[in-house]
Amino acid sequence: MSRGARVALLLLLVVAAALLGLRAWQSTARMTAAQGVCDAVSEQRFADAVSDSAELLGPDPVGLLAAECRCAALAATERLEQCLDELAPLALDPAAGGWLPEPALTRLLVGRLRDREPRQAAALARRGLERDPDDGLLLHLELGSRAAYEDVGSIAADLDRRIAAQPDNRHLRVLAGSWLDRQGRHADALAAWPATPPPDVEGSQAWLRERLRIAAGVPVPVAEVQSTRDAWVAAGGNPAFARAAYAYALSVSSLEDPAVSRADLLGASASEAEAIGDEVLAELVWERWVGQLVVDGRLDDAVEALRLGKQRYELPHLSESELRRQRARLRSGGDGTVEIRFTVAGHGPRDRLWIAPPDGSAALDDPWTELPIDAAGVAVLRRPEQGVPTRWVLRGPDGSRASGSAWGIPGDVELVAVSAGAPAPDAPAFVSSRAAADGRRRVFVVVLDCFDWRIAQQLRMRGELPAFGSLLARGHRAVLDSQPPFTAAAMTALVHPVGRDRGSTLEVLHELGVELSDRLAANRNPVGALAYLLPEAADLFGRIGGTDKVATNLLFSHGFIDAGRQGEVIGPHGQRQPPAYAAAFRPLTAEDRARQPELAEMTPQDRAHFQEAAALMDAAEAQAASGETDLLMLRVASVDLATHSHYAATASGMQDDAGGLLYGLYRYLDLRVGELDAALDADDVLIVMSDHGIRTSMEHDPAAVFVAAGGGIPAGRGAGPPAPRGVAPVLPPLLEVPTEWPDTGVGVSDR
Amino acid sequence: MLLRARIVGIVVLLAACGQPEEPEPARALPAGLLIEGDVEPTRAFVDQLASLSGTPLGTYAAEARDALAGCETGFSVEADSIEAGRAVTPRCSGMPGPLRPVLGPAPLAFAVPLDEHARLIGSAHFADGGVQATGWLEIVGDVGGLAVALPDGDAGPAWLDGETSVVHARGRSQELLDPEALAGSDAADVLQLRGGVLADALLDRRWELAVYPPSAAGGSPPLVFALGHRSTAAARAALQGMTTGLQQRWALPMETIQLGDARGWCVADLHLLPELLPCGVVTDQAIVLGWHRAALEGALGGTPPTGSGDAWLHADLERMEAADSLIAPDREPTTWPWSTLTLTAEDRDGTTHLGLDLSPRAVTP
Repeated sequence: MSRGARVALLLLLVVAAALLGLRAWQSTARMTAAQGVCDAVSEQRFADAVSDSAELLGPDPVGLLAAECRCAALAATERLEQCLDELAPLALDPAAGGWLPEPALTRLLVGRLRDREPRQAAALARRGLERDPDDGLLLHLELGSRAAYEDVGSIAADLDRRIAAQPDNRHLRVLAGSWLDRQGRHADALAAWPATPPPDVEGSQAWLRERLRIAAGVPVPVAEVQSTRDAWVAAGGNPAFARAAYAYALSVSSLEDPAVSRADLLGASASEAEAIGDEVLAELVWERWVGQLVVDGRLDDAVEALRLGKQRYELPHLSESELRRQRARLRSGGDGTVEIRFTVAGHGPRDRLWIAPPDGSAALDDPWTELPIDAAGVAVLRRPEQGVPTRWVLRGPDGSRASGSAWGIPGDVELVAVSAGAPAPDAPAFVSSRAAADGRRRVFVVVLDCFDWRIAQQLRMRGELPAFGSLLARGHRAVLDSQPPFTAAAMTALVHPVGRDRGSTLEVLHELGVELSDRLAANRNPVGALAYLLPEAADLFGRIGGTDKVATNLLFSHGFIDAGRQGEVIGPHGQRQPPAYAAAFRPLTAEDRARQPELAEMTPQDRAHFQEAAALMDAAEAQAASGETDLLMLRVASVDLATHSHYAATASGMQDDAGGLLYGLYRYLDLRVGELDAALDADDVLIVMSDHGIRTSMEHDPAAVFVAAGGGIPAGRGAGPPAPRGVAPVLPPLLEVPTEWPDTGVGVSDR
Repeated sequence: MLLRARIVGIVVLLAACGQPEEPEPARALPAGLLIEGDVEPTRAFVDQLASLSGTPLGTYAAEARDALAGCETGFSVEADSIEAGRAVTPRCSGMPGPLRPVLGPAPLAFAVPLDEHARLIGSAHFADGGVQATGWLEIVGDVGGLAVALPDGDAGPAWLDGETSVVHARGRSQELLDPEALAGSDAADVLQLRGGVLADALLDRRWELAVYPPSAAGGSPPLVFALGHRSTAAARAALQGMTTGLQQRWALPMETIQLGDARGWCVADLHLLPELLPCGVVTDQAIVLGWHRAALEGALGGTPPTGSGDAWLHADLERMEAADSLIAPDREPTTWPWSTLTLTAEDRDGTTHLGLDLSPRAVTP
């Protein structure tokens, strides 16, 4: 080798060594910097961690370490969303070799991606599950993400395969079964659910009750429910508990044992309450037993059962006086006359006693009538006996007031002592503060399940519910006649205004194809092309979303409530968007508590009613703010549960001054409706309605609320009592979507 | 933009058509959606489809009719997919596109992607209000569940009555309907379809389906489904096992029946779907399942049609109108622009060839 060549080689080696050294130094320096970021986090120097890590992120191990520590710093400084947005591309980068952040962050990351990129969210969730197969939350996130773009039948088939691969994984079976049941796939849910109970007693009882509940939804449920019960007893379970759980499951699912009546099953279990070994279940059984006896018209037996039950349990939702009234009404044939004598303490000449319209003789939204008070402070009301309590409100000129209810029993004079409380101002008048019209009309429909005209009007007569009162004053209202007065019927009518009959040969074939499609390997309807030949969907969401509009379904379909798929977002032009999510619950804030004194003392179960309402009204406001949907339909189901639980307190036949949880919930909903109204703009329409009202703790009333306001809708009232089916036809025209759906009298028109 | 729905919608309906020539790889067509045709004959066809108002196809056809108004002689559409095609405005041109040089002269030619594995390629001719289309399925890779629907050789003579059937189909599929794939559906649960009756060794892949008019106003159109078997004795044993399983699992009241030489059972009480009281019998050729006993008796007691080809489907559209009037007496039935629809499928050297015939309605003087 020549000297020149040796020098050149030497130089080359020197340069190579320098480059390698530089890279090593850079690598070391980068690692040191990343470590510094993590140290800063551990020392709570979050600002330093964020600023020092900006240039370090990448799909290599050092970059990923820096990203995770930086994320912790961002989260600590209330920038969790930024953290997740930075982690997402790294987790999805193939160069990162399948890296995922630690489990809690992975769940948050999947949750963040679920709405925007459901396929990527599902992929990340699957990888997370490979790392931790028992991460139930991640499994639910994966399934929820996939539901945005994948047929539920296909997901069910996948779950089936996963369970087959791990047949002994009870955790997976429980999670899959719960999710499938929630999707209405009861048979699949039952197949997924663990076939045998766990060994511990508590888990075993929970297994039985949940499996009974799922089994009650399959096509031939009673046999499945019975076999579940028998299998549990055969495995050594307490027979009395099994009988009680069985009777309860049949009762809540409206199923009949082929050999024994529902009342007798419940009664038999109630009679062996000691042996059940679960006080909560025993009380529930007793409650259902009394209710069933009432439904069966066996009021004498119901009164006696309740008397015995009250000796053992609280049974707060059942009122002995209510049963006695019902019994008296049954005996009189409903044709008796009642007399109610009000005695107003400290009566003044300007006191006014207002009485609700009699049941069935006037529209529930009519003005209340004044009952004259004589000089002695006595006012006497005689009217045909009512199936509902007569609500009353006393107003004094100084702002004092009293309110309550009275029933009256035919042949008796009911005495009601009235004592007005301290003066207090009416709730401040609601002033609509909507933004100026933006030229685009949206329609927001809030269905308050079981929201009752009578209770609402009583509160309005007290000077409360200002937002609802404002809607009534400036909008178009109707008293809907919801027949039958059940949520499922009303919701189906709302979403399918011209029915869902199987009206042609091709529709029958297509429907069978849908049934098969979930099970064929191709996961698609083998005769799906027939859809091009079927009448275009009369489904409200499909019709609106089939145009250039977007329709969002938060009606919370489940069980027999056929109101489309919860969270479904359709449009524009029929596109299926990632589902809209409304949290099931939202913790109540300090602000909520400050505004609603009732929230201070509540059982966890009652708090849940408010929490669900809070979460759903939050979702409505978020939809209003986002501007992403043209039609939102949302149902607050917890109002119904709260009503059944607490109606008796509002119909006690005494002065109650609108205290208690149910009245509080009405006030809370009024606040939230007012806030939703403010979140809309001037050309938007807000509709508040209910699916039915309430007559007694155990009986719905067909009269339902409807009021639409905003967007130029003139104040007015629908003629007669239109059916809920009439609501859907008025919605598309508000969005300039033509339909041929018949007008059934709700009669909203714009301008 | 909605003008796009037009041509594509029409051709989607023709998801049953094909082309007479053998496909030649050397003549491979560009990928994606291709449609080209002559305006006048296509417009007449589009008018027929537009008469199906109130259906998506009718809507698309009406839009297509408007779009074609802008073209005088020829038109063509090219796009990546059906969905993309709906966003494309047809190009008006008398020049041939890529299809007709391959398919030969035809008033309408098309290549329609059905999914990532299958594309339908064919052409259609129109005469006196009728439509004749032929073509083939271009399949890439694994067809997955589609194999159940693909024909595989001669299906033999039909078994079920064709004189009253509204829709009637028969074939011999490339794969058996996977019994495990059915397991879990409500119908499979109720009918205990897992296991014996659909076992691979028992069935010979021939199948037949017929839909009949309801017997009374407001009723459901009963279905009868038949599966060819290899052994009468084995089929009877399997059906007996299924019956026993049903009785044990669901405590369903069952009764045995005898229809001619065929023995079987009927569910005596079931509240699942309107009029559904499933019955099944084993003949010397097939296991036959019916919506109810009367449907089964009618299907096995009538005259089978003489369909040809590996697989065929025949819809009597005039009978369908009458049936629909019974199913929903208060609803105006769809009036079809044709009297019958016949679709045939044949496997030739591994390629599925299709033919469609839409017969014109008789002209009332």
